[in-house]
Amino acid sequence: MSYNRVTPEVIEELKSIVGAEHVSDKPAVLAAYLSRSIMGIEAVKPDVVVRPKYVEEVRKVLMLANEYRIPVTPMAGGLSGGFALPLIKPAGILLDLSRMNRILKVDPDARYMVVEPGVRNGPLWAYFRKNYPEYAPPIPDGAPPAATVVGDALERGFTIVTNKAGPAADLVLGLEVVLPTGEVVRTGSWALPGAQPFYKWGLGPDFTGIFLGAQGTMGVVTKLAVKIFPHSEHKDILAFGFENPQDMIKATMMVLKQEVGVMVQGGNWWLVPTRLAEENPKLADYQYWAKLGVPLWFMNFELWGRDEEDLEYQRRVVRREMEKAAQAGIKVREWKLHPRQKKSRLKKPNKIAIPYAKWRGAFLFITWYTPWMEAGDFAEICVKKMEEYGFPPVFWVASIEHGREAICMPIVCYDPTSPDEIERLREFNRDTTEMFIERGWINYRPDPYVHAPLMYSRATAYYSMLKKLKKVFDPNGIMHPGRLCLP
Amino acid sequence: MEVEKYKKEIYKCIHCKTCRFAYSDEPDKAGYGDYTGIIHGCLAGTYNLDWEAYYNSGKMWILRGILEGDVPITGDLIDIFYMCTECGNCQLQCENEIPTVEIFETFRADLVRSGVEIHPKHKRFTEFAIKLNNPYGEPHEKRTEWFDGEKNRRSELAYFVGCTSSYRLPHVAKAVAKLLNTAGLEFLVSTEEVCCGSPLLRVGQREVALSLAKRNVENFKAAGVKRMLFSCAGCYRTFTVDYPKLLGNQPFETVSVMEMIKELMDKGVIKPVKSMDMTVTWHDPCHFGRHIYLWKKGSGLSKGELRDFAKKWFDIPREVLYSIPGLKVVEMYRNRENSWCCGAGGGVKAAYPEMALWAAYERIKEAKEAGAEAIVTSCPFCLRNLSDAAREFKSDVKIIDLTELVLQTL
Ligand SMILES: Cc1cc2nc3c(=O)[nH]c(=O)nc-3n(C[C@H](O)[C@H](O)[C@H](O)COP(=O)(O)OP(=O)(O)OC[C@H]3O[C@@H](n4cnc5c(N)ncnc54)[C@H](O)[C@@H]3O)c2cc1C
Ligand code: SF4
Ligand code: SF4
Repeated sequence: MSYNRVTPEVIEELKSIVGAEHVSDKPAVLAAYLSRSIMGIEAVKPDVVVRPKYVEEVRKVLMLANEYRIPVTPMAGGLSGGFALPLIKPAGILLDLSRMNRILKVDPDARYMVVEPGVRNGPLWAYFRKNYPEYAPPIPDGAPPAATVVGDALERGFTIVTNKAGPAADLVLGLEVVLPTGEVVRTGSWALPGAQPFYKWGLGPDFTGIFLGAQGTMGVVTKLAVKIFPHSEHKDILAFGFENPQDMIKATMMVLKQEVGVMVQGGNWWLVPTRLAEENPKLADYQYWAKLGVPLWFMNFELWGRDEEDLEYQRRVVRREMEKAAQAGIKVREWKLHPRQKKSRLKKPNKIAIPYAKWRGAFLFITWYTPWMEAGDFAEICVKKMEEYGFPPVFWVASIEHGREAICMPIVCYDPTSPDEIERLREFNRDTTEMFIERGWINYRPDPYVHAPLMYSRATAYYSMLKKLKKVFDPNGIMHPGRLCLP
Repeated sequence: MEVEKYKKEIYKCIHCKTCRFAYSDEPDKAGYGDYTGIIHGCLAGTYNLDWEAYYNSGKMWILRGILEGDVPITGDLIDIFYMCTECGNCQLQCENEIPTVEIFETFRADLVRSGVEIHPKHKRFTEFAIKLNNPYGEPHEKRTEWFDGEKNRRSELAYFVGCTSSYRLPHVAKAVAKLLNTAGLEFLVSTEEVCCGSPLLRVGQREVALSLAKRNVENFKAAGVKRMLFSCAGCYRTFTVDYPKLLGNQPFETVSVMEMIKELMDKGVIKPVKSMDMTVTWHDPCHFGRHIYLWKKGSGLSKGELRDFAKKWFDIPREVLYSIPGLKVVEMYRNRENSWCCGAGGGVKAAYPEMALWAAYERIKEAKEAGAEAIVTSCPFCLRNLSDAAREFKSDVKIIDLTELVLQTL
């Protein structure tokens, strides 16, 4: 597919749509958007950044881009690393949606909210604490305060209540989407003019799902109706230690089946030193951590009770199941967390995941979904492969919907100033992806050069249908070209 | 380019954008009105319509582009890198501990050396500093005109007045002199004092700053000074943090006027007795507050030690205020190391006066919502900018210098 460059005339037209002060093609301003870290390292600078405030502006920009066949990349918070940036050249328009930052509605009875894409987690959380303290918006669990709920839902990420309620995508009740053709569609029951977004399956077959996980390739979401949840003031974290990942996964399954806990996550001891300091042999030696009581593998259970009694009941359930696991021969011990450790884990949104850059200068989260009971195998492969490729084997895992699935993540700490190391990282990704896809595991945020091609080369029927659907929504293929291997 | 020496740090930026907030790690912090939880904390980005380029996170990636030869050095970079007060909030919030303020200052020095047209106001104040020893273009002879005591009196204690108090807010300097006299302390006011170099350092004029620093150090060393007192936060930071870096450790101790007042109160030398029927709030000047906090943090203190230091350090002016009879003290939401900068620093007041006024007015609104009738602070830069904003936006919030306030109560 060939695309056109952004000409000075197009820039003038863009300025007339959103206002000159909200358009820039200055090289430094464009470079300020770059990101090659966290989730993805493949990204290029846009040719122009456009910052609409209203749906109508988005519509006009898309129609213009469609007419001139110019690529468009939507960005909400921009915290998915390189994924909210163009991939190909000409790079076209980066549609920075951060000015669309209104919380449009909170309905505490039907328990949903309607937000625009620029509503960031930090201010959103503050808004709820002040105005609806009994409810919590489904912000991503470990994402920093500048990420957004819209971005997380579109990415199908994991939220503070993921163990209870499923991935972020499951919480979506309806979308408002602007298509490159200029059509504005709503999904779910929202599609009926005047209707509230109370029923996600909408008017007959619903196509909300086509925009979730689309990485901006189908259209621009301008509003999201999403579930909110009762927020508890009675919270606790229990942690348990294990000697290997298989034991951790099996024992945790016993608890998960009891369906308690809003967030259940864990991993190996490497999660501790790699966010604390620069690479340091003393801290890279497990014996140092063993003396401080850090288990080789551990799982945290975040419990939200309706009241103290309910919380105590949940604690009892977790401990009872761990006791049963011990009786079944699994080596498990409770890891008593310091109140400060608990406090920091209970904080939402938080900064817990940011300092993994300390160890070697940068990190990449490569996230996969597996059936829960296969997460132990996944962990073992990851650890082995990370060591083989010379990376510290930092591994993290969380439960989705009481262990119906697992979200698994090697955290690859690497030196961003070393081209060799970046190449090694790419090789590690390719090598493990081949193995993981062979096992039937799914990448959470498929990257365009490794995950998506390997995945779609197997799922040919699905991929062919996806391309046809893409044509329906985006006939000229202007939306985020190259992502998901879609034109 | 000198900024290359920070390559490792610059590349540590994961572009998480956390550094745009204040209290980025305190989502449940309760406040008042719209001041609650995680809230904006970067003047540069907020003022510039939220354009990423102006936030620290954007600047880290621009620098990366520059280091990779992907972004040309042009005049476009001037506004991006100079519309920032170097308040250090970004550095405070960053979990990857990127020394943003040092990086900005170093890159500004690179910009100066690169030959791109720097801001005319910065050019002008640099020329003034070279010719007249102060950035305001005032004659050097007038520097100590405010002082009616004996000049150049040899003493172990020197009062380093600074350019702003000397030429623009002489009432601040007079108040300090009066305080010292009241306490019966002998002190030196030197006619040889020249600009501390702070404004020059902040805008990247390293050589000029260095030559001024050398003159000050030689002068005060020769005068046998053991203790240097500062009423200007910028001068204090420069002598305390920058001079040792530029010229090695100095033989004199640096002390801020807040510490001096507290010390005199603790020793019983002065005692506020007159009642003040007023509700005030304390504005932490960045150079006395957050910059010193960050400097201590970088000096290898453990977490606990840093917590203890912060408590003690930020409590100093507050304890002074608490000790004034009748005075009611309320806190603005963003305070201590999470304070909102007044908007004057980093060369902003000179080059971008509207941005400086906007930032100061944001602060005044925050004080007003906290229920304060007055903002008390102890930095002539903050005092001046906040007062300008109060006048410009017709606010009834008063802006008061700590020393002057204390003097009224003795
Ligand atoms: C330190 C760290 C920790 C994290 N922890 C978590 C975590 O715990 N849980 C989790 O799920 N995620 C986590 N993330 C990932 C990420 O922050 C979240 O998924 C986040 O919510 C993404 O939102 P965003 O607004 O930043 O998305 P963006 O990066 O702006 O966009 C994400 C994708 O959606 C597309 N897109 C954005 N807006 C639109 C739109 N309006 N219409 C159409 N397409 C659009 C973009 O093109 C891109 O492909 C973490 C990230 C970091 C940096
Ligand atoms: S400087 Fe630090 S806080 Fe700011 S975006 Fe970069 S890593 Fe995040
Ligand atoms: S120093 Fe202050 S004004 Fe400058 S980028 Fe950092 S937070 Fe913003």
